[in-house]
Amino acid sequence: MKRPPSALEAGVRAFRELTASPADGAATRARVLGRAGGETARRSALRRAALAIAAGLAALSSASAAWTIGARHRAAVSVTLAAESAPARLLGGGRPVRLIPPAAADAVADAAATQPTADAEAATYGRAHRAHFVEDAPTRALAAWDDYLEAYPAGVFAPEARYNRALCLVRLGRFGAAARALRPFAADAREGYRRAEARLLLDWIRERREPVEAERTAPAAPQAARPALDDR
Amino acid sequence: MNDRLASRAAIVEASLDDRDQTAIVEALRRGRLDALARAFDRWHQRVRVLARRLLSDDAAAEDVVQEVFAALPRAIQRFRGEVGLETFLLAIAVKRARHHRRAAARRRRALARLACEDRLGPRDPEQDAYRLQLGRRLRAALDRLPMPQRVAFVLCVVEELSSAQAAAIAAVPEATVRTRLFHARRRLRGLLDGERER
Repeated sequence: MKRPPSALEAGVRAFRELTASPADGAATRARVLGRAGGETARRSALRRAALAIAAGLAALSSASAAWTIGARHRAAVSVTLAAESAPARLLGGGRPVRLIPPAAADAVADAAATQPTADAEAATYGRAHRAHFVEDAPTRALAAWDDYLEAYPAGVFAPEARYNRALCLVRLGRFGAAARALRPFAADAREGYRRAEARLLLDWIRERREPVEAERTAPAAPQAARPALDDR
Repeated sequence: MNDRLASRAAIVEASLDDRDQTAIVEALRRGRLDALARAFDRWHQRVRVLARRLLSDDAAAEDVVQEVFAALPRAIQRFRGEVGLETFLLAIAVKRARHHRRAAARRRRALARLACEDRLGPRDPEQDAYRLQLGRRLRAALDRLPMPQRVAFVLCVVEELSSAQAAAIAAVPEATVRTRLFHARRRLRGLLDGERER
């Protein structure tokens, strides 16, 4: 015997009423919001940490890139010494002087270090003199002056060799080492052409180094990422 | 004239509703806690009632409500707006309810053994005892349905949603909803008639 369909429908109506009673859900609401708030705080803390790390890495890489570009720029600037400038007159005898970028100079110096040296003081000095004033090769000249001074620290030509070595350092852009080499001549009690020239060169080096020093003390510049001019 | 005004009012209301919903969705995507609170206030009753109807257990239904809204901040990232936010929430509720079904059934059996039947509605001395009995009988019959059939029956018959809406919530084709509904009706009639004959 088939039952009337209204039994199911009546049951549905009753079930609907039974299950439709409202609830404020206040406790559930508090739990949901508390949990979401905790997760939001954790996520934002993680986001802040990630941003700080990313910013640090970006700053580091930017500073590194800036230093590399700046070093190239400084090297490019250093090759143009006008013939009429005082340093050019001192370093090149009035000719335009080309300063060699430190990185290239290192490679040349490495090659120069492998060359044999003569025994006699005069021969050693003569080779350095030729490299410096005839061949106009400051890297080789510097190596030769170093050879001479190492072999004959109290030699006849030692003061001249030290001064010429300082000139080579200036031409190679190793201004920290050049300044240290020139200071004894600039502080010499005796008045002479070397003292005057040394002071002139030191002033010129100071002008060039001040922007470098200012950049070095800037907070964003990483100290470890750049070569130290003074140490060269 | 009144019909036209009512129609325009309904259109304006629907438009406001859409804008409000869009604002809630956007704020939820940005992780705003106030948006979650607004969503909860607006839809928690709807989710709770559906969960009750699917689980026949107030405590389990409350757990589903909590899980649905706790999952919302993440789930909203995959919300594409193809359905309303309410449908989206109810779909989450259906999925979550499946996980609670066994636990809810166990709990109800334990309560029945202890003869402390959980109360589904407000106590009202004027309540028609026959209707209350009918409702409880249907609830017991629903408990014996497979979950997909129960979902189809609750959504289409108890909630009076269209088969398209039910299909969106249950994440199945409309034809599947209709098939499940057909089998659910037939089985429920059989169960209710069988009880009556006993």
